[in-house]
Amino acid sequence: MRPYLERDFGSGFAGLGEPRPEQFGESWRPTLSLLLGHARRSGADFAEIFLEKRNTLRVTTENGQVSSVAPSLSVGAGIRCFKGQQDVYVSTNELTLLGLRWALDQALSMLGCSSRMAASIGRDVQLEPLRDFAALKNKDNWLSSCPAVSDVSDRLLGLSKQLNQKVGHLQSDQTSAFRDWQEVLVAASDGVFARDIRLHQLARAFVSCADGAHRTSLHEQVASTGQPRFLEKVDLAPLVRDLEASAGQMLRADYVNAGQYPLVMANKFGGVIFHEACGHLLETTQIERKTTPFAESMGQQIAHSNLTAWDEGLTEGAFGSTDMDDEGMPAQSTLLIENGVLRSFIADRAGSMRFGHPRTGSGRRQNFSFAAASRMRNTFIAPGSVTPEELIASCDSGLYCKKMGGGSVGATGEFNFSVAEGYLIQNGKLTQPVKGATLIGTAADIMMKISECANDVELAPGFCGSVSGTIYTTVGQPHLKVDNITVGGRA
Amino acid sequence: MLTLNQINSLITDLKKTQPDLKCDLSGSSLSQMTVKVKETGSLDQSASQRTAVTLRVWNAEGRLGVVQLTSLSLTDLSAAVKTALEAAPLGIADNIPQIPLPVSAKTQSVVVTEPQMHPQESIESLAKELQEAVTALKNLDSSIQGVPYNAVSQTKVDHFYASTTGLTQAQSDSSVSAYIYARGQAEGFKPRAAGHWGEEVNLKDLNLLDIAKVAGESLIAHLRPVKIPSGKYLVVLSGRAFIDLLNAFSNLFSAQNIIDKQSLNTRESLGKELASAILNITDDPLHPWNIAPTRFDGEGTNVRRTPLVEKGVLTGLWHHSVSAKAFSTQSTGHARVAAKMSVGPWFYNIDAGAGLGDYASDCIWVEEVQALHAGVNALQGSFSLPFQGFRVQNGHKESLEGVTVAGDILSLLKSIVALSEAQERTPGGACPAVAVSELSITCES
Repeated sequence: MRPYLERDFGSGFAGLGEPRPEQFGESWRPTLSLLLGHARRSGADFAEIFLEKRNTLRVTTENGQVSSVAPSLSVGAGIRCFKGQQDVYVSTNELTLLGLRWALDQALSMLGCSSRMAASIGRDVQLEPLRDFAALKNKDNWLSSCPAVSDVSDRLLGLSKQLNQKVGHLQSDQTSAFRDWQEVLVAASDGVFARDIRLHQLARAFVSCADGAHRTSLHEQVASTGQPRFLEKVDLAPLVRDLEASAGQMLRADYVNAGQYPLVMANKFGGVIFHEACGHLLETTQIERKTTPFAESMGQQIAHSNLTAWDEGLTEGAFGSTDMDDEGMPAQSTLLIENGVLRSFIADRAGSMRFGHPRTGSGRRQNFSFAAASRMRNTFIAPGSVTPEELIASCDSGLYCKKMGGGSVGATGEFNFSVAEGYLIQNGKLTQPVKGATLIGTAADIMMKISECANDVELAPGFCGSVSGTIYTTVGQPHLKVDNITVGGRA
Repeated sequence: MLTLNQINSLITDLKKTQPDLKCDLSGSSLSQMTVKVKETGSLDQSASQRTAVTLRVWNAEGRLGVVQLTSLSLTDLSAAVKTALEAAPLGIADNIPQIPLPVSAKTQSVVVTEPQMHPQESIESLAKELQEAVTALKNLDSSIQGVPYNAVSQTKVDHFYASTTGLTQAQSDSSVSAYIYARGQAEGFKPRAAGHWGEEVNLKDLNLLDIAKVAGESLIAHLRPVKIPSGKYLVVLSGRAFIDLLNAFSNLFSAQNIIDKQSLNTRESLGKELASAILNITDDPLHPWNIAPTRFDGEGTNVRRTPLVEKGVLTGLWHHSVSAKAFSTQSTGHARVAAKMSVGPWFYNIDAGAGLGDYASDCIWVEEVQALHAGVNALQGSFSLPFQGFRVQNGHKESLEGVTVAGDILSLLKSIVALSEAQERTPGGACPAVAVSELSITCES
């Protein structure tokens, strides 16, 4: 189980006490200083250690009964070392001195550094005073302040009851909530030493409705960051209202006809189109892969002049907010595009080192088993001046996307998004509901076609899967108009 | 490798402090090395060693608490037992799984599988072979601009199951897998991307140069795409595309989903026509193309070959112990254990057919469906998916660009008109190319 237990780690570690996984903070300073110093002495240009503890809980009800109470406990560490243009990442569940030494030796070995020779001589890395965001913002009691499992179950059962009372032709319902508490400690050979506690919570309702051959399934969710009593206090009635209204419309919706459409996209989760079609292409990871058309576009017009967009980690309670990123950098607000002109990339440490773009506090990862990468946080398009009604009225015929499903963007910038709830626009007014629509296009094209933004920006929580795993994000936008887009549907 | 003695000693140690403890634990311990070649030519190397354990504890009233954790130390397991006992009274009250018992020799033999280990290569060897493959791919054609997505991984995994009733299972496997995805552009056309993958038990059997060659040839075939009018077409789905669609609609074969009313099928669907009479689908976990197969499920039940569709008729479902009881049958060894148990496929085997005949010469050929997470509504049965593929006219293939394929899975299954004579090996199963009489194709104008 622990093949490295028998290994000789050299005298440099003699006498060092076992770190205490239950306490992230100053008690780890000697161990991390020594490990980072060992990495530098062995020839690494830069080394970083990420420690993580996690305590999650998921509660699910199905058709009015609690079907699952799922706690999960995990610990782990990831070590990243750089030498020249090379970098390596090693992760382990073993949050012990031996486990960390094994991981570090693996990393150094893969970099071609000589670990054994350096073990007994040299100095530790002098870490900065601990930047303790958990202590600064009184987060240490967050976990114990979260509602009890029984209280969460009761709220979900109440939500299920409401769905059964309000949603027509309900075939099955599922409600769920999760709480994800995470404590992290980051130390790096440039002296970074930082600790944070994060708390993400989400409540979700899903309905499946059927009437004869007509079927529809829809979900709604609300989420927060850093609000321990969120699952106790959040108003769940809007979820029921939205599902009642949407299911009523979509149950008998016809399939949309394939073709070219002018498009009006609603606010909130409509922002997924910008997230996928443009946001990912502004991550420095994409520059490294040469999969973004915008690598050399700084200062150039890459979008319609009516479009301004931000990525930030500061909005209170938003799902993508974070006091520090997973590389220990405090959060910031980053202007990505200003009136169509590219102003900044989303950069992590590696992106900054390799391409010179300033770090934006965007080094993020799902957990310790991933190296941090440049990732989005709360990403949204800034408001315009017209009303949503004026946008719809400006289309003679088109498609209104009230709710978006998921989407993705490929290596060539081609994107696709599913439309969860759509309506035809005829003579400037919303008419019949339609289903089965997929929006397809390429990022560089679509950004020039977002021609007008309304004045009603709202954010919506979501999950983003990419190179460093699945992370919490927020997307957002006002209602906006796309002049022309290809809609996949039934021919 | 995790030995049986180690696993049993964990259970024994737990029972020393809690003699009446009723629990089981299942999971895996994995060591993995991965190498990628960056566009700059430098290497991106990583390694990980991680354990994932699901612990189930039955309290005195028979209620079940389930905890997932990442450690097999006695201290952490003891803490997890406490958490599970706290969660148990709040969880499900009905249809609670029972703790598995050692099975009698009459009904099922529980075999501890001998380790299927193969020589482990150094990360330098993995890197060297991948670098050579990426270089060969870049040199294949001047239109190939890069290989943005590529990796080779060597994995060693120990699976285990143990219970306080004495049922114990363990196995070790190793495998090496790789994917190579290239990007290119022909003058006057938009950039395209295409790739290929492979998996074997060791690096010697995994020919990375071949994977790179197939990726490159696939990309070249897509560099000069054409547009077609949107409409309804006869469509041939590659084996991989068909398996991906089946996976997206896996609720069709899940007994648990049927119980939960989250399936396109019902109890009454068993024995009824689900698909064209030429279609036979089996879940075959120990198929020779399934590299490093799992030999027992999360309840410690040995996996087994399970017919699902025979001559178009739905004849079988995936079961765990609770769904099997509800259907008055036996578990098929498909349990995924969590706070709520689920089932899922191990490895599909779709029988080859009599050949595609003329369908192969005039069709829309769907090589790979994309964005399944976004374009599938598993409970409606509908899908609308971007795809990589070709228009085939008189046997001549032309790549398509900006296309989606849309339809309904139940209609699709009944509209299958032919199956190719040979199966394609895919990550999820063995499957022939599948000709469907009509699906909607949209093409970006």
